[in-house]
Amino acid sequence: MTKYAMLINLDTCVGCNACMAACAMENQTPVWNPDKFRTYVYDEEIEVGDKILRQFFPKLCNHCDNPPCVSVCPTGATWKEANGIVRVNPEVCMGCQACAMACPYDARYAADRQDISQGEAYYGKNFLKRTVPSIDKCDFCYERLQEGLQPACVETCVAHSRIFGDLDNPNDLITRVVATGKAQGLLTELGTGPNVYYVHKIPEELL
Amino acid sequence: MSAVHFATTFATQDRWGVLVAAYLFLGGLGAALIALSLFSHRYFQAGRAITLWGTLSGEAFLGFGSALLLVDLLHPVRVWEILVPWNVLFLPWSWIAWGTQFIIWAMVFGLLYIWPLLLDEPWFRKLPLAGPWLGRWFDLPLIRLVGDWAGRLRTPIAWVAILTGIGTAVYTGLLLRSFPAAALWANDLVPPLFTVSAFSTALAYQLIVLYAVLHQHGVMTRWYERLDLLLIAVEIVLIFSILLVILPGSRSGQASLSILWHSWGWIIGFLGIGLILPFVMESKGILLGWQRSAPVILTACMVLFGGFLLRHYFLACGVYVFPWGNAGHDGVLGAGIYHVLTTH
Repeated sequence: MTKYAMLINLDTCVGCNACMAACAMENQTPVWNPDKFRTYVYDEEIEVGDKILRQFFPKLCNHCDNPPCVSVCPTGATWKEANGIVRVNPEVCMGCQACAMACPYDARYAADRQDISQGEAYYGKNFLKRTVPSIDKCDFCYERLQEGLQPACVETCVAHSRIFGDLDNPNDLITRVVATGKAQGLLTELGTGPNVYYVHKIPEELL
Repeated sequence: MSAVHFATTFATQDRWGVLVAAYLFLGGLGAALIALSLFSHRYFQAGRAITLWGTLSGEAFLGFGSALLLVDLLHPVRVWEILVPWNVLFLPWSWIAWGTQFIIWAMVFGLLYIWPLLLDEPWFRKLPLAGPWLGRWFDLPLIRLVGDWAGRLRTPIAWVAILTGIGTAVYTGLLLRSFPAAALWANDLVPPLFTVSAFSTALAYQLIVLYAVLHQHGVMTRWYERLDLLLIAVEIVLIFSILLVILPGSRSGQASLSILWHSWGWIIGFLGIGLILPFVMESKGILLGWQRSAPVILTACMVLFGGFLLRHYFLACGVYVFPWGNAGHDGVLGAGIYHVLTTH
């Protein structure tokens, strides 16, 4: 059995945002609205004692083991694949946004009618992937995975900050890193079982 | 091993605004009205007029509230997906799926129960313009047959409507309970709170109708006033249990508390005018009585006002605690890529 997951190394992310651009072009997200990205890189500062650490923080859907977005969806538009990927079928979604309310990671956004019509102009009517309003989110570039490719954000990352793999494959790098216990999921206390892991260490000069 | 250090961002949501707050309020009020009216008619000899008022108002509130939610959808045509009864068989974990069925069947069986009363109610036949048309329609053999059938099966019909009505009121709270990120929503007292509030507002509405429209003061109004006082008391206990006991246990809860205790609309509007003052006034009415109807009607209006504010503030003040920060430069690089993508 396959269980897809992503590991993000915060030490090497340089905040170039190539992942955001690659994701936006691959998945035709509404780039004209800065609040509507499938993945977003935050520029943040963390206090370490009396010092400040600046780091870049990529965020995306965590493809939870126990996804609250799936359990609240009243139409079955969002579901979890056997390989762990949480997907959305825009043809079934009525856009109640309960999934977005339930998501503790703010990983979902509303692609509304205005986004569809602007998408026709931006991406070209004949190439448009999304034709109906719905909630949208990261699906680890499902179509690319079917073709044996990596997600667009992983493939484009210049610093190899994003590592994608199969947690059920003991030889995968991500499996070995997660097994050390040094990688950490977000908001695990909520019981969602996130499958995006983060690693970093505080630079010694700050300690 | 060094733990990963995360920054923190506190955020409220703007996805579900006043329309959904109104849907939760009207849904709870409408469903509780149907349940209360049918139960009162079936077991406490409530009159035909108050039963029709309560049930038809409940139907209208449920219909209007659902319409508000429909307007809020990104793709309203797709709503048929959740209207089909078998949807809950495929998605039994979705409270919205259950809630939609509760609403539908509470409306259908509520209407079925009052069907025989409705057909023999002369008021509808006297309505200007629609009256003659309604009279002819009510006298159609099939319509009469449905009325006869509903009259014979009124006990099971009443119980289906009552139970689905209660289910709808509970669902409005369970809906918020199913969102794990905000402590204000994800606690087990929210469904009982919303259920109690729904029935309290339904009693208040019925009191307004009894005093202001039907001018009926008697055993029924006294019982309704006592029951409403009891429900307001339970609501006060639930609210303060949530605010003082549960919420301080988490950063999300603390942030929600901070917002609520800095909102005059919550403190004066809901707690003062919508909760404490009605409790005091209803206590006075029950213990010492009122000489006139006005204080009872005013108190009931305040309960309704408080019912809406409760839903509004609960939706508006649920706080997400995101494990990332923006450090004041949110969008500097993010907006940079936005700029590149939108100016090519």
